[in-house]
Amino acid sequence: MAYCPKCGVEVDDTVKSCPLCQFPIPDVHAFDEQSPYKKDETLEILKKYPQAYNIYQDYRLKVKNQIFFAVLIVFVSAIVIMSMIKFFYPVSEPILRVVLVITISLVFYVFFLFGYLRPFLNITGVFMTTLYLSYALARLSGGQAWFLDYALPLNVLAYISVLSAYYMYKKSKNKRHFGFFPTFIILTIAILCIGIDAVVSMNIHETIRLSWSIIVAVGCLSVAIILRIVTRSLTENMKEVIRRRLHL
Amino acid sequence: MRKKKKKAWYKLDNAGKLYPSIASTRRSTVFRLSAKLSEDISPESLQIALENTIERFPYYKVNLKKGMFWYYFEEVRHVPKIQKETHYPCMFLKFTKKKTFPFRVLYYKHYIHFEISHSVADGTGAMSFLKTLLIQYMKVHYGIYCKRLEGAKDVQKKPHPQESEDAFKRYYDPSIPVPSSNKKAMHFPFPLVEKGRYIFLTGIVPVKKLKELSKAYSCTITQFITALYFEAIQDYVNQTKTLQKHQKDKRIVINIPVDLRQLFPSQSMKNFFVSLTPEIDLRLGTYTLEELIAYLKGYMQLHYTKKNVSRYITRNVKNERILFVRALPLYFKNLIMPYIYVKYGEKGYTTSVSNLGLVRLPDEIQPYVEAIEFYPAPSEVNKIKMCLCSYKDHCYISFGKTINSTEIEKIFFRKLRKLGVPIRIETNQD
Repeated sequence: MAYCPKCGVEVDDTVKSCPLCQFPIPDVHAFDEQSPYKKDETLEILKKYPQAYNIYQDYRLKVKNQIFFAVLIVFVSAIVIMSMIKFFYPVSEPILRVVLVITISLVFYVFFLFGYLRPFLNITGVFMTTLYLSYALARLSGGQAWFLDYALPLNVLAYISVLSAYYMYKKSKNKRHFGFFPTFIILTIAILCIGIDAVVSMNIHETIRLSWSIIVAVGCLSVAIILRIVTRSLTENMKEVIRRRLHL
Repeated sequence: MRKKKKKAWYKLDNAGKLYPSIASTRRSTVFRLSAKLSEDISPESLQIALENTIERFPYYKVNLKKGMFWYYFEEVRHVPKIQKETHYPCMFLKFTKKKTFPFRVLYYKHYIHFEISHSVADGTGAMSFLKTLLIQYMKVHYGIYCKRLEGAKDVQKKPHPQESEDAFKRYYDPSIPVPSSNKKAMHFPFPLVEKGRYIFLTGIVPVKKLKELSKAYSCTITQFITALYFEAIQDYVNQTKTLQKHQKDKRIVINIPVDLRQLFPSQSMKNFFVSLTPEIDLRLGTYTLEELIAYLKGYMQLHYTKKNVSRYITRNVKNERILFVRALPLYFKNLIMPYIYVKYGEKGYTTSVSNLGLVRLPDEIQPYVEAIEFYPAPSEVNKIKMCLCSYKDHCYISFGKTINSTEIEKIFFRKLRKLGVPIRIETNQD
């Protein structure tokens, strides 16, 4: 029998530390060398509770699948109805084409935003879908130059910004810090605005002249700094309340 | 053409009506009773035993259905299946789904677990079911027949109509004044574990030693344990420097559900309990164990009386009969109820202590059953709850919690240990 010297209570032979105070318990389990079982197997036999798995994850996935398939059915039905209208009653064909392209894109957006794949693939998927949508809309409206001048560089910029924000967040040691995520979002918005301003001015003035984006960037930077200071000075109780309220 | 036999249906009892509306993935409203047998469980025998038992409890062989204004239970024709325990205890039951029962019977090694939603039964009803299941298991597996049933039901007999009654309604008297509602109580600031996890920590102590201590303090075991629990929480509050002043200033309230069958005769297998809420205010100073025991003795003498308890029964039934509540469609009830339950229920107490008392089994099967344990349902507001029951020579003091911290249990069990009580600790915490 194993005992915790600090609490004075008897504990299971299978535990490595006291369940009450986490004080390390020496391995006193008398393992019988003649036993047909290995030591790990013997310890498993002695355990009162199984190695439990979390059914909440299964439940969450099930609900997510149900919502996804419900949304998918709505979109697919819309695509089928529109194709039928286009085939049998082609009155406003250009509008129908635009709606069709948007609906198809929405199906892909929903799929990637539901996070079935790895984050990198989901971000790339959203980027590719946006590229397809912008190209298709540009082609349908007869202005392919708009796609090359604005949509393509802005999409690439957004893709790189989101991807780098994600990897910075992932690599960051403070990723469990709930103030870190909004800070990254704000900084990404600041960088994205500078990029948009640069692309727009490049197309209008044929040179990079930053204007409004500097104001946005300064604002975002200030908010990010204030957020960091505030989150650092919050008490553990307040953090717990925010975590619970915002499901962080 | 033969007409299909109409399915029986049951109204939820007064206390049970609330639970389906407030149930969530975190607040499952499912509590557990466990029996440890001397040998590994035979799944085949257990399945047959369950099939024999469930027919005697037709009011549990049901499926929850949505009505226009309230939930109701509808009889189901198929039989429940036993499951091997693989997930965390007292997990949510999606019993509005077809073919899902409001309970589950699990087995693992030597253990049989009976988990049931509070919408169907309280501890007394659940214990009667577990005892009947154990008797049936012994009959199927070992061929043992029991003469005295000790609270279990005879599967050969038909259920008494009173077993499915709503006893609250029977003893409701509209002329009795209702008690005042609870104020906000202190709550533990520990961070919650992730959803889908629930932690048990059981302290197994000799009943003899507890009886000796209770006798020395001239109180009951429940009063002694509750006083010690109050003292442990008080110590935690006093020694925690990081606890905020507004939390420290709140009262420490312990919710004690009391079985009403002892005061109001009833055979109901549904819910029939009310909660008493003794409290201490630390702004008045630090309490000694003697003071706490004296307070609890006085409190129980004053509050656990037929006259006082009938005020709670009246309050519960009156709340259900408010015209607005009755006329509100179920969809809106489901939206509002969790908020009301937290605000007027869970926020009003710090933790709870539920004692099932001494569990007796028929003499014939006692050698085969080594332990009986009782565990509370999880909650995200009352993060730690305590349940206890005694069987043979041991008392099983079980904490059910949605937090990782063991601070409160550590203080509690160390106090008990200092009083010379040997304790064995078991937990499912990794």
